Amino acid sequence: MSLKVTNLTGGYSRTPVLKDISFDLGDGELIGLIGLNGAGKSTTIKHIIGLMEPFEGQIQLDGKTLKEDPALYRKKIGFIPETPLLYDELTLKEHIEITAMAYDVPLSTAMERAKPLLDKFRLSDRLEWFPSDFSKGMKQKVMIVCAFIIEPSLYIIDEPFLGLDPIAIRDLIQMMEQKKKEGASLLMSTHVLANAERICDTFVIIDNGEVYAQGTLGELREKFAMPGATLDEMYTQLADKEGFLK
Amino acid sequence: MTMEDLFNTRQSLYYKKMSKYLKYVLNDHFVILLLFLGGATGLAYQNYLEAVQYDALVPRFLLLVIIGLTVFSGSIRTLVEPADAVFLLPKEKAFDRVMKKNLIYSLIFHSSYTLLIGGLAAPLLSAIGHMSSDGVVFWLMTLVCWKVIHGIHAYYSLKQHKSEISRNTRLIIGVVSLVGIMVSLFISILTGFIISVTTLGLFSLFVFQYNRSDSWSWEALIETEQRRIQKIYSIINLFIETPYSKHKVKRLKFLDFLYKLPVLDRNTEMYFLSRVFVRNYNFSGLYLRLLLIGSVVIYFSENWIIHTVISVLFLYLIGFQLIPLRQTFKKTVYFRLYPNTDTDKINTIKKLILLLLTGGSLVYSLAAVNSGILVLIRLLIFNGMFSLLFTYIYLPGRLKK
Repeated sequence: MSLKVTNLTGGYSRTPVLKDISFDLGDGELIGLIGLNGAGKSTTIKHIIGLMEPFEGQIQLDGKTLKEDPALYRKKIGFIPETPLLYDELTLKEHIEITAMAYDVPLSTAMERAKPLLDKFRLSDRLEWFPSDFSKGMKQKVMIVCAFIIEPSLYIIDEPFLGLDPIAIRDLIQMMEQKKKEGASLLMSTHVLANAERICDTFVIIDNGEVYAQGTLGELREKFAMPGATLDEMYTQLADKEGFLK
Repeated sequence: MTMEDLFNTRQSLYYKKMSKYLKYVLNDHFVILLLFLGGATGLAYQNYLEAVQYDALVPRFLLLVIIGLTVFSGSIRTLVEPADAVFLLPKEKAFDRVMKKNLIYSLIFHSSYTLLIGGLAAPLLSAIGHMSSDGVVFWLMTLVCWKVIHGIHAYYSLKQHKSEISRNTRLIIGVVSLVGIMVSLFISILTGFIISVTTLGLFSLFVFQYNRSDSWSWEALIETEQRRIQKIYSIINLFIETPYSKHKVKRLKFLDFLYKLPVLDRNTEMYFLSRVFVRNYNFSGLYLRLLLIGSVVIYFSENWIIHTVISVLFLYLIGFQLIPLRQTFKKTVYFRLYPNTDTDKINTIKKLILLLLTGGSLVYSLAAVNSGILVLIRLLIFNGMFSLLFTYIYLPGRLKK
């Protein structure tokens, strides 16, 4: 068992945004975190990567919480944020270097790992540029490269498809599937349900800070008695019926 | 809400903010220092006026530089914000009226300090026998004309034009005003005056009649205003930390060897911080400027007390100005996610600041070379001690805040 979220309650101020969230993510598994804007997806992610502390409940990565061994816990996570966060003062190459430094990856190894990714994303000739001058999609590619070169055991990807061109989306999906085969766990939050349906093994549907439903596509169909429905159909109908939009 | 209301609200907010910061800038210590420096400069100027030779050329070149800088500096205060390019775009006509007001406001403001500088320069022009007492009026009016021309040009460049025309205009205005000022200084005040008035008339016709453009260049508007605000904040940031230090970042590849210096720690924090310091003009630019100004003052002063006071003061300003380096760690989320950040960020900042202060101590001491090796060494010891005290006694408290 790789990531285990148990009864997580948490939020920004005293009032909890997340209420009693639980789910497990095993090795070689890809979970899709589905929910409307403001449902609590990003907040859940912030708790998992350790930017926020849970009020109650526990988050364990390979049996250890963040408090028990911060360095080890953090080293296992590669995080791609929703909006690209880059250093204004560092070049693309230096982003790779500082990531390698921070995660104890030897510099030569990091560059070796980065090379094919940079080629794939057509960034190889921009190593000396400041990524903060790039377009949104290219910034996102830089974030992807930096997360993948540390080869973590858990990838956390927040809204990965926004701003990427179709080729890059295809490449990213391939990369994620490759990592899954290699035994890494992936947690992805997204609104692009068609993509999620294609690649995710299980889904956690979050609404208003609570887990509304979880399971494989088959399990969800069964649960909502909608045989043959796509994730998109199920979700929108559910949202209407349950008044998610309120 | 009309466009005028919007900008009036903005203006009052702007003044409120500026007066708040001005209170910190003009604190007691600084006012005393200003009075002290002002008095000293005044005295030196008076002595110079008495000693200067009739028909001397050097003061004219000096004035050329000073007047040139005065005339060519400054932009129009527009208070435009980046989001305006989206939200105000359909209201260009109404924005026109606001801009006219901005232009007049800026022209008055710029003319007033130009008059002050021109007035201060007048005794020097009289002392070298270049200007009679009636000439003063023409001299001042000439300067105001050039300043107004520059202001109108700043206004003109905020509108959309063919790039070729605007490039040529910039060139012509630059050359003509330089020549005009030179005529005033070297040949005749009256001729210079006539040139400036003629240029002003022709240029106004050109801008408001022949080459009138109705569309604003929003990118230029936003960029100019951002730059103007940044300049103000970079000065305010010398005295107090403001949250408005957006910065220009330059690659500066030729400085890459600096990051490999063995005195720097090989850790993630120093890797990041050293690059931030060098490439972020807010930090490196101010450091260099303070180094330069301090060195020049020390070089030209002869008294060891002044040496010491000036270098300690400037070291303090340098150190103080580098405190916002702390914010760079707070601004990024990554230093909370990285596994290997047990090493103290505060220590990294302290180390870098101590290094920079040591560099400053060295430079300021060397600037006192005219006063002999003994003074130099004494100054070095003094500066070194101050740097250590600053880093280990003063800084920790400031960084915790």
